[in-house]
Amino acid sequence: MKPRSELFNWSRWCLLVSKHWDENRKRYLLALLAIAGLLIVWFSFILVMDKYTPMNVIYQYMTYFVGLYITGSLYASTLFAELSSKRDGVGFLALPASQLEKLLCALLFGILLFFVVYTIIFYAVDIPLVRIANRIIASSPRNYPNTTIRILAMPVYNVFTGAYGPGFEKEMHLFLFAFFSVQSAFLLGSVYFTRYSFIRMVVVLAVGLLGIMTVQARVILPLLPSGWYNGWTGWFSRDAAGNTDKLVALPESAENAVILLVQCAPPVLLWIVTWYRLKEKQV
Amino acid sequence: MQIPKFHRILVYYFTSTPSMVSIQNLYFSYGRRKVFDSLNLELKPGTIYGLLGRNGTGKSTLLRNIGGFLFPQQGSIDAFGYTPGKRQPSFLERVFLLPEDFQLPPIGLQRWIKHMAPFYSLFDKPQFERYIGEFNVPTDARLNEMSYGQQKKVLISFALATNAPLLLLDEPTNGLDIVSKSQFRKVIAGAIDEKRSILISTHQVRDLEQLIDRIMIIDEGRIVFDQDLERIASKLLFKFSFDPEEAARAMYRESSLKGNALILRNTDQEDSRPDLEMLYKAITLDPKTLTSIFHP
Repeated sequence: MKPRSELFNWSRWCLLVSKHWDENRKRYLLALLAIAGLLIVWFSFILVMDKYTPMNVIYQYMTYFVGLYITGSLYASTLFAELSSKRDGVGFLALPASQLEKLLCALLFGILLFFVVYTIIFYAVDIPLVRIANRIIASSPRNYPNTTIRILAMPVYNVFTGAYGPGFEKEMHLFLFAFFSVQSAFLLGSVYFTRYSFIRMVVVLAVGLLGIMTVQARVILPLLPSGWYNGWTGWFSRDAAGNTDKLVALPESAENAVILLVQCAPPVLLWIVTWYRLKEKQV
Repeated sequence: MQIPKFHRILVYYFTSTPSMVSIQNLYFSYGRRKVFDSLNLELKPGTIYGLLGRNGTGKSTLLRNIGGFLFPQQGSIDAFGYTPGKRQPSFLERVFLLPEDFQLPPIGLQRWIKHMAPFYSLFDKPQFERYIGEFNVPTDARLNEMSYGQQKKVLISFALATNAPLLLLDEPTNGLDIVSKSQFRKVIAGAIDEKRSILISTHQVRDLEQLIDRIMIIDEGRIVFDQDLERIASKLLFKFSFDPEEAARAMYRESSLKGNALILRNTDQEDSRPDLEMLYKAITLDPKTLTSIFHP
């Protein structure tokens, strides 16, 4: 019989996935029901409170991402929770599977399946409620407050195209891609920190964000000529009317490559760090 | 195949059985608190080792180092050609650590076995069912609804049925009732064979006195005593006596209702059964005198 690889073996990984699902499925199903319940309650509240544009795209956009980030980061920070105690850590590390297989199992559930299932649940709640909102609008046509502009039917927000959403989301899918980085950071936190990994990771990310904002305000902006600003991938200046009049940017292909790198590289980098951290973990 | 204890001792001494585990100059500390300093140890197959030591001397830490859950800060550990700290799946299949404190998932025993067993290529389900039967553990219960003792019996049964060549048992009799302790001894004695080694860390030497082949005492970061029981019995005499002269010659004595419990030099090759608790106390009190008998 051919010896199984010490790094990755498909059948061993499938066993690991099956074991993880079997041990956690009750908890996961309950959590998904809770998420669906909270979305229903929240959207019903909006439907009742907003008399003009219930279920408009911004509500849907905000709800999708706030829910995705909060539940996703909470879930990711529990994926290696066993490692926070000697008692559970031994059982986790002793299981005859490689650390890469254990990480890939966590990524499957924590990153891929969570994202897919959350999105399905979101739309399972969102689409019917948008329809209800549109029926309400259709049954009693109305204008925007103090205008003669008719309120039209609300579209369903598409998280993949960003259509009808804010510009930066439409152009670069900023929050969509950033989610995978944030989720991966919380996954790393669950290996790195032995206690209160969620809270500690929130603090680390907040400090990191504050650091970036400080560098932007105190270092980068003072270096730019007067009236110049830095955008996502270049620099621009504004005229007196506030319109962009000069732009320094990379060629489009290079700009696209940089955007792709910024979107995809951080999660991969964080997964590699998590893998090494997992290999070094002692309990 | 179960092999008699005496045969195991002969194998240990008179064959060039390679070590299953070899620890060389192990240094380990928790921050500034030194636990091991130049600790050396060899574990050979076909032997049940009893690891004794005071609280905090590093018995569990040693098991965790051998199991690959803690890494040596200096020195090396070799277990069947593997470096435990790398935690390769094929190594993890060969070593089973039964920790003193553990938690089993909230699922039924059969479901747990269904998911755990395939990770261990040598796992033998009939063997597991036999051990579970011997321990009288209910097979239809959920693991989290079982008592601590029952959960421990499940883990012991599983550990043995994995047929891992090296079993590391940390205080295995803690939480077991009197009957279960006796069942445990029976099961372990039946599970040892020439391919397997069992290292038991314990405070409760009396529970395991008749089981252990070799005793190791850990103190101040080193193994201060490492001898098999046959050799201890040939060098030391354990007896009760009211004779004050004999008591004066004793290397260690404690008073009891049956007279003075003594450890004497076994100059006339008398038969006696080593009292491990007394031996342990004697060694921790005065390690030099006793160890000098074994290393003249």
